[in-house]
Amino acid sequence: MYRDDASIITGIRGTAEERDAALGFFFRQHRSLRAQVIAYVVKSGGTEHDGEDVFQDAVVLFDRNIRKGQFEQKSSLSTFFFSIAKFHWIGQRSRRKTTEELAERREVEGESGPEDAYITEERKNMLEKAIEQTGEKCRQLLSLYKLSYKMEEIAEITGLSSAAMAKKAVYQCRLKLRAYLTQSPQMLRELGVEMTENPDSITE
Amino acid sequence: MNNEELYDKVEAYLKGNLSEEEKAAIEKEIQNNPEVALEYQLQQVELDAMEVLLERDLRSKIPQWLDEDEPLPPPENDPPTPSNTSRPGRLWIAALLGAVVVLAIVAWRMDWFDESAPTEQTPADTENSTQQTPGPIAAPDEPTESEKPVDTPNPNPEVRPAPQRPPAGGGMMAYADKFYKDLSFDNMRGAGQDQGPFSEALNAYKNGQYPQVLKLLDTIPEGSGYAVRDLELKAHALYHLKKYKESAAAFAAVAAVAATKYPQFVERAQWNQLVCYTAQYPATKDAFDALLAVLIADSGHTYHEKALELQARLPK
Repeated sequence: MYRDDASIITGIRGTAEERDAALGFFFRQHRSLRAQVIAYVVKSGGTEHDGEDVFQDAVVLFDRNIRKGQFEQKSSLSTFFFSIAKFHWIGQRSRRKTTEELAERREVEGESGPEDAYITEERKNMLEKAIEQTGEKCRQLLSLYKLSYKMEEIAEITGLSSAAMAKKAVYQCRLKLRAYLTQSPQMLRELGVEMTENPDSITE
Repeated sequence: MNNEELYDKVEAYLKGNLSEEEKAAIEKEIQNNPEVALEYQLQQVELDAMEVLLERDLRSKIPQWLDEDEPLPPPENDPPTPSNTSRPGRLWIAALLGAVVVLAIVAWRMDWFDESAPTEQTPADTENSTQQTPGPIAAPDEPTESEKPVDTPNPNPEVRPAPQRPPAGGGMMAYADKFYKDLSFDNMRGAGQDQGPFSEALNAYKNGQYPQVLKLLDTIPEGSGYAVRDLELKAHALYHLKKYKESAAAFAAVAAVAATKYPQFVERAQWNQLVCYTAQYPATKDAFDALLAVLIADSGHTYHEKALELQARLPK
């Protein structure tokens, strides 16, 4: 089914089922990655817990980087994964301590610059609350939308009559999400959104 | 530009669907037009929210990918890790290490409970030794020292040594201490990293001041972020104080709290919970039997083999 890294990448960028299958295949095929990441973190001053956290965060970042097309296929996928974990741990460590390890970033070999756009816990909590209140149907629609499904596919999966209806439904869900987010200027500020003086300018 | 047009334009920009010319134009607008800038920021936040949704789903699947007992695809250069060497279907690994296993079994047969004899390396020992002294970091496609299987399960249960029966009186206390897995200090999060109550509690634990450990842990506010770590230390302190009932409850809590994020702690906590029941056996027979059945039913459980050993020691 998956002959090489390219076919795994195609799977991860595919439908929800294809993505799950491809990621599952990759991590089962490379079970040692977890132990390697934990060993690396422990060796470089972290704990087993840190290593487990870094591994799980790296899985999230790995998926995100591949979906965003950040992987240039200059190395194997497993090397790419490991470099994401290294970058992430070095970033975490330097945030915890000082910038003394910044030089280490330059030493990390392999794929240059995997995106370490990790969403902070605080931000994540706020966003989780926001997304939670949109309801199950919206969560399904928005997940499919974020996974870059075509509107025709979203319509088919969710039982909507057409691509236009799917687009409208996604739009409505985003407005629902936005309505929750914009009800609290403080939350918006914490999320990094600079409100204008005229709240009517928000698209709703 | 009306609201819907603005939404569509920014959405297309964020999805990378604009031409270079359109892209430059909208970037200029984001810089100069607060309305467009706000729409851009809001859509970014919405996309982040959707990303969180995907992340939550993804995280829930990770343990399944790591633990799933399915035939592996044709192996590349990826050697088995200590965690999967105990899985059924890995008999080829056992075959490769057959000579080692035979020696281990012989030693096992000769001195089943003799503390002075060379001790068998338990799954947790393997786990700890791997974590405490990780091998050199190699590229992910290369095996590291830490990946080499060092703990090989008995490849043939039929040659399991004849178990000894419990001491007269029917108590299982001796077996509890035999099977108990004490805390691994080196990998405790926070160990030596701060001067807070947890570090103090850890030091007290090392010095055998178990009541002090509990007092110090009680001063840590709930929601401090290290629930698993704190609970695990508490559970071990209670065990050493011979408060087995409370210790079992604390290990059960560790397993519950760690369930989604730290599967390896779940299995260790379940094992120690079972050990606590062992200490109180037969008063805890029902709880013991139920948990033992769980570990025996799960052939992939890190302590599956140990559970079978323990079962063999039950009084008839």
